[in-house]
Amino acid sequence: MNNNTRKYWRSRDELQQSPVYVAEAAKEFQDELDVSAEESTNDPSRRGFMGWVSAGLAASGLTGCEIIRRPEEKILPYSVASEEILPSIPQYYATTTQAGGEVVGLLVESHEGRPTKVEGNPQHRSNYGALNNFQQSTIIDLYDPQRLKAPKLMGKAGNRAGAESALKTLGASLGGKKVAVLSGYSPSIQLHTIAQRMSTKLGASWYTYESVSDDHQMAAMETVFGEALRPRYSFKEAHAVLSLDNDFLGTEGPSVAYASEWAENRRVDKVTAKDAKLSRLYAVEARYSLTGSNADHRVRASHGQIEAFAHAVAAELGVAGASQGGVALSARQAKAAKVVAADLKANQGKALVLAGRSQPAVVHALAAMMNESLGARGQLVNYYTDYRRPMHKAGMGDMKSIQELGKALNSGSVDALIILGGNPVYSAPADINFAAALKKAKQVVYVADQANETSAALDDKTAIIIPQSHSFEAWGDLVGIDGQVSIQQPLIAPLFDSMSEVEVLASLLGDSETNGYKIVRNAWKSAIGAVGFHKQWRRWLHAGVLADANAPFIASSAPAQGLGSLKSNAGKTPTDGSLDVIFVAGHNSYDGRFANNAWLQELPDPMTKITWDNAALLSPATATKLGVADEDMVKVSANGQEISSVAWVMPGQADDTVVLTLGYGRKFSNYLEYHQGSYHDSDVTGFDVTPVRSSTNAFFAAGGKVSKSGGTYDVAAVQRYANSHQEPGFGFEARALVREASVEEYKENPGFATPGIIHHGQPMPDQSKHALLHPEERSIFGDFDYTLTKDDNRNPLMENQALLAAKHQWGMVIDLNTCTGCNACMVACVSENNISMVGKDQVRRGREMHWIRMDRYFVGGDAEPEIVHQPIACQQCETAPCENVCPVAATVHSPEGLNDMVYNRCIGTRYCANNCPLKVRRFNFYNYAKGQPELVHMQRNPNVTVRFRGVMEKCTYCVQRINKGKRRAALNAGVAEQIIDRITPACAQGCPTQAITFGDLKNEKSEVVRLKKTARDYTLLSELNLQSRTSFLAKIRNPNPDFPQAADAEGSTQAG
Amino acid sequence: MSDTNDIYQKDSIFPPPLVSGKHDFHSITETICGVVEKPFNINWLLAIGFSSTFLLMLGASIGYLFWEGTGIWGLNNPVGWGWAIVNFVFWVGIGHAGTLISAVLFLFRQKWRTAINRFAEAMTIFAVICALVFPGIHVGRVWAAYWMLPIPNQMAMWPNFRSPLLWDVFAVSTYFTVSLLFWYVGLVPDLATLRDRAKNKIAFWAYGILSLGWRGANRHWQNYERAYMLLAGLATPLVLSVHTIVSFDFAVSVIPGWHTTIFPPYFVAGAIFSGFAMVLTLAIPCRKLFGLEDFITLRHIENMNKVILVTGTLVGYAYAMEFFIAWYSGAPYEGFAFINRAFGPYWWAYLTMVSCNVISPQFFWSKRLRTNLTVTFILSIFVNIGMWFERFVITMSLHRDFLPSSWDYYTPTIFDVSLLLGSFGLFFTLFILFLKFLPAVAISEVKGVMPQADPHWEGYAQKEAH
Repeated sequence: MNNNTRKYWRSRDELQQSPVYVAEAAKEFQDELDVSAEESTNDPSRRGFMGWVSAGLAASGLTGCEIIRRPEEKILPYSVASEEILPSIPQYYATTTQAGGEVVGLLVESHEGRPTKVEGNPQHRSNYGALNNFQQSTIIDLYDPQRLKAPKLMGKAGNRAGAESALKTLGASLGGKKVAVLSGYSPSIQLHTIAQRMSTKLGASWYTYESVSDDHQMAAMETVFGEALRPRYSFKEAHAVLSLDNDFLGTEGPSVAYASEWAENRRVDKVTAKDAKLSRLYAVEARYSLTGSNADHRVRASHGQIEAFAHAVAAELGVAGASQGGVALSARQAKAAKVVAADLKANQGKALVLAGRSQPAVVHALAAMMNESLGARGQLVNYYTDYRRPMHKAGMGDMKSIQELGKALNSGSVDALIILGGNPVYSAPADINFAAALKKAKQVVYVADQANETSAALDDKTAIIIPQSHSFEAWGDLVGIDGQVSIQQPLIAPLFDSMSEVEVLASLLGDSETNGYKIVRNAWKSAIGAVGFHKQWRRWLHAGVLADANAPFIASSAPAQGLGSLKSNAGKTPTDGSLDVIFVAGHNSYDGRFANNAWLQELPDPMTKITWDNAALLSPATATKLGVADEDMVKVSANGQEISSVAWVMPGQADDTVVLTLGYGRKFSNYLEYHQGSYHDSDVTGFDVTPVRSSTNAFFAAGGKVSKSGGTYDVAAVQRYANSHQEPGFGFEARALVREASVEEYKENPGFATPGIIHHGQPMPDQSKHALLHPEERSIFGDFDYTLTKDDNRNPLMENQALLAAKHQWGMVIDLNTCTGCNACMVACVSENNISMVGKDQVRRGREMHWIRMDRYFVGGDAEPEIVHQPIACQQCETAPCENVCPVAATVHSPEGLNDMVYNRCIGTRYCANNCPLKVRRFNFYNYAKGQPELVHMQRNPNVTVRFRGVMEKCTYCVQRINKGKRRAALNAGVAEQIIDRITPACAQGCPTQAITFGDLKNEKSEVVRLKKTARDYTLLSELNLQSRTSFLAKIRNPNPDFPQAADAEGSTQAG
Repeated sequence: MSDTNDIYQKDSIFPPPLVSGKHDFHSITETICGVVEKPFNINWLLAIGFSSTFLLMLGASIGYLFWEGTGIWGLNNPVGWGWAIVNFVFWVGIGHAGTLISAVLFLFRQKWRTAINRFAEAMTIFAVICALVFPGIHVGRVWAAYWMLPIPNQMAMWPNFRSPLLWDVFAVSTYFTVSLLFWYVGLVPDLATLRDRAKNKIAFWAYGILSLGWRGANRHWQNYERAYMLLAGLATPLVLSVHTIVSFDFAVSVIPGWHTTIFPPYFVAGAIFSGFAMVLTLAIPCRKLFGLEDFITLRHIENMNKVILVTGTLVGYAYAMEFFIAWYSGAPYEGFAFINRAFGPYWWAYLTMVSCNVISPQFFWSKRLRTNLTVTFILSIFVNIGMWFERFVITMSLHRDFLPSSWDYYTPTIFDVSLLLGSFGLFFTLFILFLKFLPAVAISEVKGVMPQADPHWEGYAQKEAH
């Protein structure tokens, strides 16, 4: 260039290098913007002016910028530590929540500052990374439009500052007055601390009440160990388990952790590889619980017989004091008790006995003593301080607590009552008459999530109602059953003017610090000292759990002292034709706190398959005796009260027993368009059973009566008992949908589950014969070409896809042996895929939208059937019947073997759904998302379309997660294989027992390939040549050969 | 009516004449055109008022459907197709007799067809119009229903040619087009007659335009005859193909009760069966009301009853064969589907179907019954009901298929019912308009089968005719 002497110029100024030109030219190509020196505000240049204006605009815009509702406190993401939020890249924050005192560790997915999905924290020992349906559904409670939005101070709407000062004023006036606090179970360290201060400073008396209470267990523990302890069972090494009415796989205790541990010993392949035994579960129960359906032997016994059974087994095990009690056992039950005892004894040190919460204290005590004598203590069961009741006093169970509070209120001596959450007017047993007692309190502070029965019973003039912060909005610290502490960090600044319980009490006490963040942080800072605290705190927030050194308690070593003076209270055999009434916590309603949660309401009960309602469950024989049938309206009376309910026959339930589910009958005003208007006939879900409940024995009442009251009720059940029964030519065996065998049969013929086509009602013995019968069983359209050639697609992008096409082929295996039927997968799927809830009326019409459903079949006779569960989602068939019938090609095969559903292309002929042999396709008959408030939209997963009316939808194997994984793998070539391996659909991720395995079939080392090669693997309806990508591992039960046969197990003609 | 009966019951060894009564060419023209040219009578106004009320109901029902979505029907998850599809197949079936009578019988030189072919073809057109309403409106996103048509677009996105629904689109629209052309070509000489007789401007122009300048020239007749013959030849395979393809909607699927190779012939037989029944249902009152007894004689009715007897028996055979195959195949799902069909929750529908379709035509073995107009009319309505139920029973196979967990029951809503009734409203409105504004009997063809049309007719010698 230097050699080039020819000079080019644009203007004469340039040529002459005039001063004006030099100055201007320097401005033109500045290296960096420099506003400081020459461009003072006095003499702004054009560029400078624009800069200042835009900076000003941006700054003023910031103040209104509340789209990203990050709390002002410092919270830390779990894994992706990014400085700022990247749009479309979700972040995961570790936090924790509790319901009914059961703490779980969570990882909450947050999109641009709004939490969208709840997942489990693998480091938390109460759930090992999985969650149950309650915990997953809590996300929509956060965005519930019916939440209380502003404090109501003596009838006037206020804001948070107003509430704080009102509380402060109130607190200052309470000196010397009688203050009572009512809370639910709350294993929160901060709440315990502040409860202590309430007591010392204000002399407040603390009452703890939970409708679903563990009173009997507490009473037993206080007798056996002298203090209120809680057993934490461990199923990892348990080879023989006896559950005395304990639904540990369903609604009792840390069920997610229990299910997960229990499943470890049900993994046939792992267990046989270790040459260890498959565990064996005995369940003794009156109702039919999930645990009962998963048991190898279920003993159907009346409520009183369970106690007798416990005595009989304990006596065999040499427990001192075990003798007689309860209702006499039948000969078969007595024999069963002996067999069970022998099996437990044979598994000394590997055997475990559990007692359920509805059983009397003596059964809990017997279970504890049996565990002592079986050597389970320290190995399979550890006892920890029951940390759920703040300010616990010995003997003060929940029912006693609420009775005492009722008495205190009625005596008019309570000046101020502070209710921290809960809904006691609804949930307290009828004999308390809490609504009337509440009126006697001179001043009430009620912290509530929404307007409910209790807030309606309050007198506006004396009440301060404060919206309760959701656990994703508030700071806290929760202690798990075994002392593991986790920090509850909020995901979002409170959406409304809400406060947490601790903040309310701190305001009331007149504390200088009423900010939840500072309260929690300062408490921990003073607990572990300021040195290095900051780093430690960051680590805790990141991981979600604290080291065990920080646990407030460790396993108790209190010696077992025997049964003490615990007496049976289970009554005797009713002779007057009356029924036992059993109250159970709802699988979906629990105690009623989830009444406004559509995900839970629409989730079918795993046993009855009823949605949006509860029913009075009766055994078939009892129903016949009473002359009632499914859907008949009945009157149920007990404890001198009467309620109305709908009858529903539950095979396998004890005779002369009616099972009532708690948590229904709450006024429910739903916000979903299609729950209202002409499609909606009732704003109440189910039937309130609390009026027939008594606080003396909250879970059981003898002398109940059920009588037909005339009329019927349309129950929204998604699968009917009668469907699979009493119908001509049903032939369930021939369908072989759920294939199961005993351990012995499995050992004899490991390939029992793969008998190929069913011919003349008989399974073909092997595949070769199948091939003989159908030599060319192929799709008439030929196989899908997984090596898309360039000719197929002129689009260059598709060429890339063709290269990728060969790379992954997705598949899934569902192990029926570890699937407990708990429905966690269904909620996970709803949460991930923005699935619409359609309401009771639409479910009645058979239009539920769940992409994965839990099929339930009865096996055996009518009286004592076994129950099997089978999760069914789209099987992603290789020769999918849905694909070729769509006239517009809206459902097509993907190069990775998925049946892609193209919503944009779908015109809704519904032909694909008709032709789907598994009926897994769901149609949007209406625009189900119509009319939903903005608040509800915040939960939506932005990676999944919200489907419009007239469009078909179905399981996609969570294709959005697959694509995310593939993108990440492409960006991180070094660890691509690990990233691909970690791609997990929501159902598999949420499964407590990891019964669902997903993976790349092309990767020979993947777990899914390993499982598909095992002998138990089979696909559904293989005779249709579907070649499903999802396969099932057959169920293996481990029956005890010595166990007495069920009366109706033989000679039953109908199965199903 | 009585005199035709008398004539007919002479039981001569010769077939009775195709036109009874003392008619010459002029009186035929007068009688048939008279229906069109006479002023509106009260019966006709009442009829059109009644049927258009139902048509309005159809409009309202469809309007609400478009506003709310298919959720207003009784559909649910296993039963994705309900009355809309039942109605579609039902109407397509009805639409069979017309072309069959016109085209097939024309090719076979069955001269008795002339009196009823116009009528039957009109019925075909209107039935197919009724049928075509349903595929369009039954989809979830009606505004995108045209995606079923192969319209070139910038995405190079074509319909899925493997889908029987797409075949349906082609089959039914082709059938409609050819039937319409066939009908129209046949109408041209008669429209010209009406034009020539028109007494007001509007009628003159309207018939004038529609008659395409027909002057009755030799050349016109020659072209006309050839075109009519070609269209008849074209329409004949369509009679068989259209319902064969409609049956593929079911037969190509995997659902037990649908997945059946017998469907194509069985559907065609059923379609002819129902089509003839509908012709009778319409013809018997019309011939009375418009005084067409001399043209639509008992001989026509008896012939149609014979076709109904044959096809009804064929359909009965198909029902039996389905059961046999369900057992013989050994497929448990298939076996269950048929036992469930007869004894399951929809036993009443199955019973209705069998009694109407298999039992009721058997009465036509008796000559006395098949020449009795009242019996024929009642049985033709039974057959219509039975054939609707046949489609209902088949469609409802969906309610219990492979996995018992997804079994459910379908209950129609008021909107399903209003659609069915409304489709009858559409059909009868069109039909009643047709009766008033177009010649219901093919004038030129009827004249062609008159004895006078025979150049060797002895009447010429006797100078009896004009």
